[in-house]
Amino acid sequence: MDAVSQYLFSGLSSGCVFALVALGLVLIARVTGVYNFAQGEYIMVGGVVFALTTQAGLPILAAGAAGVVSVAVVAFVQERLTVAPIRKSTSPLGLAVVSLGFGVTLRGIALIVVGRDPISVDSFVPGTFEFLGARLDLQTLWVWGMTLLLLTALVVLLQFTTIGKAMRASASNLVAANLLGIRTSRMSTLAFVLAGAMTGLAGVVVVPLSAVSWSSGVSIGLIGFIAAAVADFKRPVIAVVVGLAMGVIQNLAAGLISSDYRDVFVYGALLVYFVVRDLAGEDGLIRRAALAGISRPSRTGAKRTPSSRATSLPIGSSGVTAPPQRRPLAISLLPVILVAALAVVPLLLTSDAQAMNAAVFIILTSIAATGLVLVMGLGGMLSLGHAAFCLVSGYTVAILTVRFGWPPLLAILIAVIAAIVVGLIVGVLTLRLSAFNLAISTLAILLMLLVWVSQATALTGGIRGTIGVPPLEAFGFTTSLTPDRLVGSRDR
Amino acid sequence: MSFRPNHSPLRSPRFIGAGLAAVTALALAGCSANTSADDAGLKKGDPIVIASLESPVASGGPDFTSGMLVAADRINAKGGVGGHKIKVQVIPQDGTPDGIVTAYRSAGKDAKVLGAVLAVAGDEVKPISDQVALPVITSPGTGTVIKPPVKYVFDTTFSLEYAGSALTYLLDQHPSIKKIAVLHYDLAYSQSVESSVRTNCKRLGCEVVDVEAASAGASTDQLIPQLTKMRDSGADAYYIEGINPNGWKAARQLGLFDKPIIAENWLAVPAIAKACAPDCAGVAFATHKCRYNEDNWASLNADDPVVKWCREYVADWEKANPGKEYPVFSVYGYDGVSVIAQAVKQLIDADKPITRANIADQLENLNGEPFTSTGLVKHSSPTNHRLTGDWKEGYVMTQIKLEPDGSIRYVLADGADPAGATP
Repeated sequence: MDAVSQYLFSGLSSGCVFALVALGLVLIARVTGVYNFAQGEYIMVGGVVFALTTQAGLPILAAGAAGVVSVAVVAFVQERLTVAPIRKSTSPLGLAVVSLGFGVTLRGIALIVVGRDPISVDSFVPGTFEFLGARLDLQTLWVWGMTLLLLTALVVLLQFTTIGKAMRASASNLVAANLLGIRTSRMSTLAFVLAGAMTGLAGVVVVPLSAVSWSSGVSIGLIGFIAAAVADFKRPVIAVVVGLAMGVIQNLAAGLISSDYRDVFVYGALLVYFVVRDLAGEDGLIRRAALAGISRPSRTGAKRTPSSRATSLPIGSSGVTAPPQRRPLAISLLPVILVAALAVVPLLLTSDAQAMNAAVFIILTSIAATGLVLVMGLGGMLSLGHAAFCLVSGYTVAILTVRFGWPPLLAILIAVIAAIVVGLIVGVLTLRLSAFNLAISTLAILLMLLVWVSQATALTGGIRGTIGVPPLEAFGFTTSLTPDRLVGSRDR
Repeated sequence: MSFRPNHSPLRSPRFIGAGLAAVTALALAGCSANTSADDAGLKKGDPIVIASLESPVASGGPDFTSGMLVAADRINAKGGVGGHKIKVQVIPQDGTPDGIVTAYRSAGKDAKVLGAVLAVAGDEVKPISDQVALPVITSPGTGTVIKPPVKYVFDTTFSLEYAGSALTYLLDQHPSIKKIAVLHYDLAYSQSVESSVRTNCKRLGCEVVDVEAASAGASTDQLIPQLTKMRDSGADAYYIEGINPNGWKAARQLGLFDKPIIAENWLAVPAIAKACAPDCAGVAFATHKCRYNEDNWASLNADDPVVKWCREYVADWEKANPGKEYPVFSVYGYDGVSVIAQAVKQLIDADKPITRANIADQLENLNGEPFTSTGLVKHSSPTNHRLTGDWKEGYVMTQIKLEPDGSIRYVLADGADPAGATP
């Protein structure tokens, strides 16, 4: 019982971090419509500034203030530079991609400033305490308290204050809000600054429990994003509950089942949640099956639409389907010319292995991106798990050739079929979901596959990867396209 | 509602054209060029160029290069090797398998380069080493890269000894200990921790009762389940891999320090030790004698030849890098250059052409005076590519001590043999 209690309450602390990131995401998305992929980096920046200023000798309070203010400033800069100028002319997906770029920039700056080694600081009040059989760091109380405080403050702000109502009005209808005299641009800036300060504060209270480094925000941001997406980027309480749940499930799975596969349980639970929610929804199979028992619907009846529970995410700039227009021939030929030019690049770079490798990588990425265009561009579906198909085909080739000695050409053929089969399974499981539900589900499948790849050492080589994939030989040519080694998430 | 457009763009000439171009690009990109330079050999007056395949992580790249430069300076100050100066050429790589392989191929294509030093595991370059045909000195600390040996790949680190020494010390200090619980992370080196502890435990008469894994970037709370299981496993002592500072914090929180804890060489990296202190203070691990300094070399044997070597080496390093913190992992870079230089010297003495292939052959038959940080190379042979001296000569059981002002010191572990660690 003590062990379960330990897993539960430690998981709750982890969950608080995810929840605080999710809260910031909800605030920004609700007011501005921006799905901020840089939110995880906010917590990293807050933690790094707090740790550095503490080590420089500043008192905790002053260092904490420095952490909070610096993230608020970062958020302000992000909003002014990357959101305000393009918000009205760019789709939500475009804004999300821009925020992703901003996050990568923040990581790069942190890497330059603090290097690759982690930084650690002591708890505000050193020591531990016992709580229902669990032994916890005193800092845990700060994390729990801050989560509760910030959640309450956000709900009060959005529901009961004039500014909060103005923020919500801006999110609901930009034009109408403007006509009512609300300065929507100011609301957008305010949302970013508040979310920044909030997440920065989270970074400050969390860093004594977890050493911070330049890449700390990636995984926290990812899980925080998932929690916010489950809450449709609208409901802060749900976002917090999901964030807490993910931390708890992660720790319970690691403690009670397997520490190797704990993320599989988290993402598996998420996938099951989405699929079951869809099946049991208004237009779900369960309800339709029940209705069919009462009156069998006509085969030519109204067609199903994807589940409408989730936030709709227009892929195009306006979100409205416009009649197709013919482009000028020169523009239409541009992709052909670019790809043809890329084809020549490797021939020019045979003396420079690094440039050659980069050119081949660009071409391979282009091919993968072409597949993504089919899903997102033509299908209009937001998939974040597209890399799973590359993973399946790549590892199929590696395993068949290295472990079983198959000829590369045959292995490639089987790999393509394997990717198609996995695509079919993923499609059957998730294509009824819409927008972020689909995005998160596909991402969950990819993350589960990555865990499996890193753990199935006998087959995949684990973290070391599969080494010794033979080159493809055909028509007198030897190719070196097959990667020398295939590995999991940390290397790709 | 149908998602199928009236006119499928998949059938448009533009799409077909782009597809054909992509396929052509794929085919052309795959046509391999020659991946190795002609092995013409070293001409009179040419420098001996040794590539440092440098990772961006300090302990896996720049630290090694700094040691390589000290070795090159020392050799060049004595006139070089047979009149040939040593030149270190840095080829950066990003630490990914592709990056490592690409850097190795780059070095291989440069005819001037006669050897390479790789700071991390060499598993990536092993499959293509015959194709690139460039001797490469790796430092994985796992031993996997030389089992079985291939012509061009060598290893200047130990393997089972890193965990073995800590276990030997632990059981020597606490004979009643029989059960060990292990936590390792998800790095390439970490994958060898479990088997290393199990193998050594089998040899020494202990039992591994629990093995837990976690991410090297996991937070304290995320490590609590693993450490709770270790605590509840009935273990008499714990082996906790050192690289994640949060692991030590979680171990303190759960009270694991009530029992002895051992680790490995990660804690010799000052940045890691600083990040984990005070929580990792008192943990015993084996590290190179060059980790010590003038304050505590006196705690080792006065006539220890490696201590004498370390004094001179650290002084040279600090002279070449004023104001910088000395990194102990630089000794592996030093060793990489030293063994290649020794192989070239032996070729010159034997009046053989100085080619990459001959250097690789000679690395299998090194002899001469002590020239590595662990003394004379004792294992070089066609069936054993480990180019190290004796473990006990180079390594000693150590622990981190927290000073009253909050700074850390590396000191001889309580009761440890000052002559060196027993593997």
